Amino acid sequence: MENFFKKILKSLNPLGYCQEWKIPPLECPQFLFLLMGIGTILVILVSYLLGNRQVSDKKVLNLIVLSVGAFLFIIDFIVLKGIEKMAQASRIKSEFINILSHQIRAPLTNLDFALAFILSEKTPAIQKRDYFFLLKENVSRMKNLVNNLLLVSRIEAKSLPLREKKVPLSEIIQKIQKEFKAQLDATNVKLEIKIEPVNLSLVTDSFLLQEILRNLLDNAIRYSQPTDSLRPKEKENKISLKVEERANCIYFEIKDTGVGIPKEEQKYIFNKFFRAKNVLKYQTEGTGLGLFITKNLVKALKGKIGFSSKENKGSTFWFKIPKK
Amino acid sequence: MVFLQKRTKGRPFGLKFQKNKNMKKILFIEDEQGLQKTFRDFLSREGYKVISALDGEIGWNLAKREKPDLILLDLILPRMDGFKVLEELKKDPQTKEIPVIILTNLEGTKEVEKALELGATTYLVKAQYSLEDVLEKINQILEKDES
Repeated sequence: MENFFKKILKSLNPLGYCQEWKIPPLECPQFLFLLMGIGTILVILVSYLLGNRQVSDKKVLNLIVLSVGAFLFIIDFIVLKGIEKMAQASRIKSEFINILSHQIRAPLTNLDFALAFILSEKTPAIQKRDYFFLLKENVSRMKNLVNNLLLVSRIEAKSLPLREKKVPLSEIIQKIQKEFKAQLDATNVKLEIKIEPVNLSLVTDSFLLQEILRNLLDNAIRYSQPTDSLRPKEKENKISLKVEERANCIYFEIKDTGVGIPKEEQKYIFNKFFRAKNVLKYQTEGTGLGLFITKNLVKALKGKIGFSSKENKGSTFWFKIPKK
Repeated sequence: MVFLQKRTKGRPFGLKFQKNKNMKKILFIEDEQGLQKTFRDFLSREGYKVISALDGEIGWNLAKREKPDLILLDLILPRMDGFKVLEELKKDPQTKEIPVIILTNLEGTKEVEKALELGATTYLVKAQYSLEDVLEKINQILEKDES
């Protein structure tokens, strides 16, 4: 019986929750709501009592009290909405941490089991060699994830450092092509590169430009048409990367023949964590951060980004960086 | 060659080869290629034949075709998730007797309960089991089948 009463008191106690989490009363939302509610009622009462003495006309008095009441309720409502937004942001953060923990756990698990196998005495040296590539690949995966996390964090804090210099475009594109060679071969996707003119260069932040290209290229490969024993290859998967000099800017275009983006989802494609429904089915890996990061990086370089896409036909992502 | 008297079941009494481990087929349904490689190398060293499936749909089809002795099933899979695969396996009379070990990184109680309710034999969280631990569970289940 005692427990029962204790439970009721606990749930009625606005400070209880905050005491548990060591939040001081003045920062405790529940307590503040209670104060706000009491305050509003008190002010209404006081304004009625005061008004009763000052104003003789009942109608005017009621009008004054009602307007005071309405005004206070509007303020209460605005404050509540603000707090609701904060709670939502906090929920999004928790989901973010949850999604990322799982994304990082996958390569970690791979590493764990692979290392156990390598360290096993029964494993001959020649078998161990393949595993070192496995280790390298999974370390890269984790590095990329963490890099993306940091980029998002810097974008949110609006503190992306810009180190501008003359960037030889053929060179960095070739470097990126090499990075993706294994992935391209594994998924049987052809990459065509065209840079006009060949010796084109651009004054910009090299690292950020490479990140943009990497993200777009990664997407193009990742969302290429799946082919396997159940779905024989009907046409080749091709990605064409084009770089063109224009009057005021350099134009980059990455065109693929992949699964495309459904029309109804196109407007969300640059949102944080957004992954279109048609790719969720095909690719379990992917945070939904790639395009969010890419768009913000292009903005940081003072450029523009856009795309066109047709489901099952493919997508064309383009961006322009202004010349100095 | 070993004389065995159990399991003659209407066959003429006589020599019966003991099924050695080399005959046991394990179907591994998992989209991470690294894990596929590690488990395949490890389990075949221990005497099992390993069949790989990189997504749920292929896994389900291979299960029906190959009739493995045991299925290792991840839950997060492209094309058909692990729960759906498990459901279909247990609905089909041809595959419903095959023991299924869930091998996943999802560790919520809701997921565990759902998988066990759908008929999974065991639920293992990858991050908490070593290669040897998984092998032990496989051996336990397959040896139990023999008796």
